[in-house]
Amino acid sequence: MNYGYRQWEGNSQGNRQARGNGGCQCAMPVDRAKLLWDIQRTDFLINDLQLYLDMHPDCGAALEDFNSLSQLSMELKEQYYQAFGPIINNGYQSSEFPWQWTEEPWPWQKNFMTGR
Amino acid sequence: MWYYEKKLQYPIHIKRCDLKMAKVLAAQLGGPDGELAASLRYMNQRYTMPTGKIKGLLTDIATEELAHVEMISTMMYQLMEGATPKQLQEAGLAGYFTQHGRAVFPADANGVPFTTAYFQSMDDPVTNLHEDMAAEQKARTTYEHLMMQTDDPDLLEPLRFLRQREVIHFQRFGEALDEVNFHNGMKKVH
Repeated sequence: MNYGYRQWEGNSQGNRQARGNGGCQCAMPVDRAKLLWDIQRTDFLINDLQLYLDMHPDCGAALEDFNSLSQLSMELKEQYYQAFGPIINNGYQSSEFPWQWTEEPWPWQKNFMTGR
Repeated sequence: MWYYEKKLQYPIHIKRCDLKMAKVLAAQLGGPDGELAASLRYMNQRYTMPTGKIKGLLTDIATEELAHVEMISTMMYQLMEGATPKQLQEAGLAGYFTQHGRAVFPADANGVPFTTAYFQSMDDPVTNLHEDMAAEQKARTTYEHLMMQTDDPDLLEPLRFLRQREVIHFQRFGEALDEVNFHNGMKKVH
């Protein structure tokens, strides 16, 4: 297929494995940098497929990848939300008290990935 | 309507101070072939595109370009953060520091402020898509010029990512042009 997601390190199969301990409720501390990287990688694949599907709406294989990666992205963002608060604004995810959205770091700050 | 996602499209953490790169990176923020011009070009052109596919493609690429504006701005912000006025002077940023301090401002690598004169929006999709394809190639070349001026992997990795996106966008715009020509029934010769 002609969409360029292989520019990302790894591939969609590796990405599915990045789900880690998805459903496990064990009290492992969340690795913020790894989780963010997994979200960025997944959302990159989705974005690239989005453009591809805009021009190739009848490509079933791309659509299948798009749908499964979209599901994975939602799961990863739910994990992030549980650990660090909302990652998307305007009511996509609710907030605890006090308002969490403005908590630092913001994405352009050098400590964004680690949070420290 | 848009949502903001509290993340960059590709992670950026620049550890080494390189103010000369901050100066030239501005080309891709507020320059003629930069990301801001790209986003505004597609955002304005999309309204009069002939098919749902191409309206969608321009919306989606315009949106991605805003994420690229944010990446370039982040690189400039991190490179200038904590720099002294003397260091900024030595990197050729005395004028920039005088007018903007260490803030991010959309100008080109020579300090010329951003202007919408860098792009066009016409009611002819063939005209627009040819401009869009040229814009992606010019941005690709600009990324290559930037990559020739640094060996810092913290800069090279996001620059390589952004360069590759130009190639993909060019590919999609080419398909859009094919779509328009098909839509026109190949009646016209351009």
